[in-house]
Amino acid sequence: MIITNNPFLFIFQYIFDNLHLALWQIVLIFAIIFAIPLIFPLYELWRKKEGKLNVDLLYSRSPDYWGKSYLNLLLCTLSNNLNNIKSFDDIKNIEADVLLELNFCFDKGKDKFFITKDFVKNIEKITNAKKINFIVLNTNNSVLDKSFVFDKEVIIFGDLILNSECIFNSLIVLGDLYINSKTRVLKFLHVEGKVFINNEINIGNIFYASDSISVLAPVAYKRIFSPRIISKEDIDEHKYLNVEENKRIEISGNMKVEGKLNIESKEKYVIIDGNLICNSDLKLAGNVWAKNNVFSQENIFLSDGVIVGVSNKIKSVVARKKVVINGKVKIYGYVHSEQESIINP
Amino acid sequence: MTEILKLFLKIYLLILMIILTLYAIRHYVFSFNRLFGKQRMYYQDIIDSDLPFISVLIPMHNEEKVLHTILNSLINTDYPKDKLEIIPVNDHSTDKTKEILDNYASKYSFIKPFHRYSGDRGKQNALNDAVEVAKGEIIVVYDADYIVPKGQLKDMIKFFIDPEVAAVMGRVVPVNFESNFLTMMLDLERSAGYQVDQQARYKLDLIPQYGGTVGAFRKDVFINLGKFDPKVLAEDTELTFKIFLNGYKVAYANRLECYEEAPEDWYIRAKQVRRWSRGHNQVLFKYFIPLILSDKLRLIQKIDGLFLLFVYAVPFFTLLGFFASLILFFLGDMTISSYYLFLLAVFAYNSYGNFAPFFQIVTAAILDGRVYSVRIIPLFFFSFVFNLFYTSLGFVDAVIDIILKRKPVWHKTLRFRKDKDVKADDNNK
Repeated sequence: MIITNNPFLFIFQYIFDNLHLALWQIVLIFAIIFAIPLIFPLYELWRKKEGKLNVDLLYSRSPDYWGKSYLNLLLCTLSNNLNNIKSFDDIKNIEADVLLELNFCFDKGKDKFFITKDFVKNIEKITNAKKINFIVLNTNNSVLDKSFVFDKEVIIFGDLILNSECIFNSLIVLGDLYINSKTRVLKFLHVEGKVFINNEINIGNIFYASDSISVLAPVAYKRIFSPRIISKEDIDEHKYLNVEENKRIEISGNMKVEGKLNIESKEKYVIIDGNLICNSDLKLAGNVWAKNNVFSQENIFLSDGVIVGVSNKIKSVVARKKVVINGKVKIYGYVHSEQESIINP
Repeated sequence: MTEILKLFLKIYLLILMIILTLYAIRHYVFSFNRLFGKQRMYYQDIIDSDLPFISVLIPMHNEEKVLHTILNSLINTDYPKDKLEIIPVNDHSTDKTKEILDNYASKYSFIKPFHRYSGDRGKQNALNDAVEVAKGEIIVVYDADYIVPKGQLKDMIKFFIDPEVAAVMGRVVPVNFESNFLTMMLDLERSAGYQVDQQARYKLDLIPQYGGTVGAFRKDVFINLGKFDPKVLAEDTELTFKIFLNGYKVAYANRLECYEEAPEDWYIRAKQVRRWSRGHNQVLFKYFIPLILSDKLRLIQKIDGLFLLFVYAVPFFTLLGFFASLILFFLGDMTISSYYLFLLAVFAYNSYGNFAPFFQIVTAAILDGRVYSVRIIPLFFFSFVFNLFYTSLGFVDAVIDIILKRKPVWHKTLRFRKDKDVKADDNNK
């Protein structure tokens, strides 16, 4: 019996022509062929190895997330392991210079903690190595005038002055930070006070300062947050308001541009009231004050007198690629880039 | 006469196969874009201390089982409470919804229930009325079975810094994935729809869809566009087309994820699919011509808009295609070795399998990092047949609506939350 000329169905033709199967046998073969692809799915339905997609219901966007989370974990760990530790003030009051192995909270394993009043003075009691492979808790101000490589987190409970080249995994400073030597931070830098950058620094991920950041040396970064970020020197925005009206250009409302956007002004003072959104490179240079957010699907270049944001408010500069800042620039808020960016004061 | 019928059926099948192939190409473009294409940056990375006053509207009809969860999650949101009002819209509830809402209102000043016991019932009618009392410049809408993450409102609002954006849509994730086969399947289907389809349409600047929940829109634009059409069941799709045809855009935000409760019962799912199809096809009949004639859309957007408009009509035509193949077979024009039926089945499954074809589901699974659950894909054959049938019924409903000019009645999707879940929510209050 010829049932097909189709080569794809030839196998079935062969079966029908040569094997002389009974109807029930054909039905059985069909059932088996139909069922084979269902074996794995049914097994997966039975065992349900994966659960629902995880949605973090507690997630809230916060630039100090890494530092705050780590500090909370630290406080929890120390209060669980040591007597009389209830707050960060209690940690500051620890007198001993000790190396302890403690279990982290939330089942995050165990690690060694070096708790000391003065790290530089007391580290030699523990090790002579330049590579420090335990967590350091410096309970007072600190001046680092020797080079170290810190493989684990460093937490300074006062001010920190960096006078020698150091590499940190992550650095948390609860006071002010002075960077006077070349420095590298692989993960995050969290500072509760002011930051003065007098020498080159490279920050792998996020750089947070709750007060201000003053930049006088090149900074490589991806994300920076501070209520005031000043590159090179401060710019007084009042001069935009005090100049004669014919020297002032005011652009109100949000602005969206499909191509490149270049706003450069040397003589006149340009005030942009709304958000600036651009699908390509966005460049602001000279006397330009963008009072709201600046956003680009490519790169952002800010230079020579640009101000972004308004005092006592937080605004953002966000680019899918780089945010390059050259010379005198002031930003009130947050700078976010997906690629490594640079501030060149 | 028979020859004319045969010719007609063959032409019909040929056209259908071309359409299904075009849908398959469209889905491949989306999948490849998500896997290898240049991705656009989201506005939610912006941190802005200036936030607008917003109104969160939650349409409710007999939601006593689930309303605690969404209200508690909104109470815990990090959006400043002086810039927020939550308006649960009690739409003709006959259970304890009203009493529970009034109890919440007595405790939290920013919760302002809107009790609605006159006028026609239905989500679109309830929202139209509630927008009138809402004070926010941005209207956020959640269905009552949703669980809102703490930082979601802030992230959602940032999209409105773009003057072209009139509405924002987030991603829906079923919370009851593990309940049964249906919920697992719906979860994967949703993943493909959002993670691949919606996201690619946003990235390619096409027509991402406002989905009616986990979404927000500008109040002034919404009112200027004439609010929701009370005769249309798919108020979300209708708003999408209104927005695009008037020169605005819908932004899709994949990272605005929100849990919902997927139907756990095939009967409920059938009713849901039929209702969606009916509503969507009502939009097709209303906006087909305006879309083609629009001077606000680029050609590529019009093409994508047409694909989107016909998405719930094509299953009906596919079903007719199967019947056409059978008729041809019994008229003796098709031998069993003919490619017609075979190709139609392959194209249909490849391009139309369960709204999101299998390769789109796999793409979504890769992007979501799911290794095991994607193995249930062969079982989607059953879902394909199921959807084909009920979507086609929805199409027929929409055609009858047009002919008889009848007013559709909204049927709420039944909730499946267990009593123990409600008690857990109560304890969290």
